[in-house]
Amino acid sequence: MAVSYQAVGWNAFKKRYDTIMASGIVAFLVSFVGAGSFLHPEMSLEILLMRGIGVSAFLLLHLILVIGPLARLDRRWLPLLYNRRHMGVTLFLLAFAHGVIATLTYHVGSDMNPILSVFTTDAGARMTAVPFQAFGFLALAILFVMASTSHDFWLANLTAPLWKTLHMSVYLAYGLLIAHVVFGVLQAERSPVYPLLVGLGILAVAGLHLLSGWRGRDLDRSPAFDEKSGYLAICRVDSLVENQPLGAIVNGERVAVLRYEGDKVSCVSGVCQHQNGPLAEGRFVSGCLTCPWHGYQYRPADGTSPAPFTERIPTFDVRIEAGMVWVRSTSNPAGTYTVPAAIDHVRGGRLNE
Amino acid sequence: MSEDPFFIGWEASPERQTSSWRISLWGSLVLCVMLGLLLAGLQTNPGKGIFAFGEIHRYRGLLISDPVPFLVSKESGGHVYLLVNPLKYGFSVDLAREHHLQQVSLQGSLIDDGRNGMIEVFPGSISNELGSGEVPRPALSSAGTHLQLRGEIVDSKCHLGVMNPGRFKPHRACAIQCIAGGIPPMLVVQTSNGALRHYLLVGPKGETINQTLLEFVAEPVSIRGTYRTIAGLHLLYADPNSIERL
Ligand code: FES
Repeated sequence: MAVSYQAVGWNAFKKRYDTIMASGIVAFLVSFVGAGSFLHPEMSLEILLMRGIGVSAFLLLHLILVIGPLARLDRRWLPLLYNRRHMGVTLFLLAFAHGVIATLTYHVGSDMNPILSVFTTDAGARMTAVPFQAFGFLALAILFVMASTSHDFWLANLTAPLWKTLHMSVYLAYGLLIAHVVFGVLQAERSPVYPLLVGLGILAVAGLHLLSGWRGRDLDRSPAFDEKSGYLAICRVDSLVENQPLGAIVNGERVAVLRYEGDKVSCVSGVCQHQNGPLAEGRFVSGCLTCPWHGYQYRPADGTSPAPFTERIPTFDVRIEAGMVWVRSTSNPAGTYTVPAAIDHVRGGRLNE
Repeated sequence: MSEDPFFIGWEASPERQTSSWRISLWGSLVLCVMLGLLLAGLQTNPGKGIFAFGEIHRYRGLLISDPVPFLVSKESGGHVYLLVNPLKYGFSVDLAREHHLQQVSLQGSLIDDGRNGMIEVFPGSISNELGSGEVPRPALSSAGTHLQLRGEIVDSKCHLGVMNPGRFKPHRACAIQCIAGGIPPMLVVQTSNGALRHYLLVGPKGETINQTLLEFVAEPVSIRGTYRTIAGLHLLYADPNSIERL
């Protein structure tokens, strides 16, 4: 993990992060329920609460989904990414409260099992009768799985790639919740502001993902390949900025090429062991390549976290020739030491031997 | 902010970040409050009904079982109250028949939208009241008017005050359960000036057609039938085959 990291679940930043998140949610709920009951005193309190909690969960989901691309586009958003998991767990709790109130309000009190009622009572295939509640229930189930596996314990046990794949289902939950809102409350409310805001939300989520993907498209161009030696030409040496890695794709894998300590160049996997964070967007800090998401650290030469941490990522052999950085197309096993290539300042770069 | 802001959460120093933390806190509070006010304020008027949940009063009067169970009250100048059971259940058909055209006393909680009253009858509270001055039997208006109406089918209990709003898509499942449970279905018609008119829906012969209506609940529909009144209640003796989705 990290050199100066202290093994505590909480730190000052996390506490402030959570304080801002919790006070924002409370402020939203108080103003929503307060204004709602002032302007519409006859509105049922449970419906007002259900709506306020549901809207706050929906807004929080949008925030969660745009943090990633925002942080890629502008590093000043990185602090929001640091504790995103707490947002995810909070989102589930809000969604759960919304679901419980909705089920108690609309589905309890008849002969039918309330959960069965959620899925069957309003079934129909017409535009005016699309069963929106089932979408919400399925999304809640996904959020539950995500929240309950959000701890690093599950990350370690499920392995990072599987965990990451599991957590990509947030996009499925998002789609289901859009359907839940569009076929649900938007069919009842008259103000055009609501559909407008939902549309803007979809545009923001999709637009920011596309934009950040487009910005990172240079990564995907295939580098030149030298058949004989099995090395790929990644970039010119002089395009490397010291302590700031460069991302590339080698044999389908994301890698981070780093120039550090003046004239050394190393290459490691670009995928953080923690939660698959983009190491190519990290920085060289305290002798280690540091992940931008939660600060996990890896020594560039051996892809290993400093003691007492044990994370390891694959390394790649590097050589410098004619001013170009070449990376071997096959990776070394995670944690393998490779001699960093050295930049020859007189000749503008050559093989490190 | 430096030229290359790189943030490491475990390293973030509270002292260095005091100002940005305050700005973030206040900024998010202001934004959340404004969003809360905006989104709450734009909601559609939910209706004006009340449900005196937990307040149980005694009501006396003449019980009529058909075409829907209701009570013509003795105390409040012949005010009419539809009768329903707690939760999503209509008033027991057997009990209504047993007490049909009898002077009764019952306990329950009031549901009222200002024009239509309803009592959620407390289970087991109904008894015959003899010799305390009879309420005359109300008459059904004889010649009905044939009408075609456009509106939304709701359950009368939620719509008259148990839930505000007790209409539209989000309430659809609840209305279906209520109507399936025997609560009188009601057609809500919006007039050109935005006012709402309510018609209790029964079959051509005054029979219940709740089950037939279930698939049309909370959707815009057109329905034909004969309009009649009894004791101030507006009834549509509807032809179930005439219902069309709009
Ligand atoms: S530190 Fe969490 S993903 Fe890298």
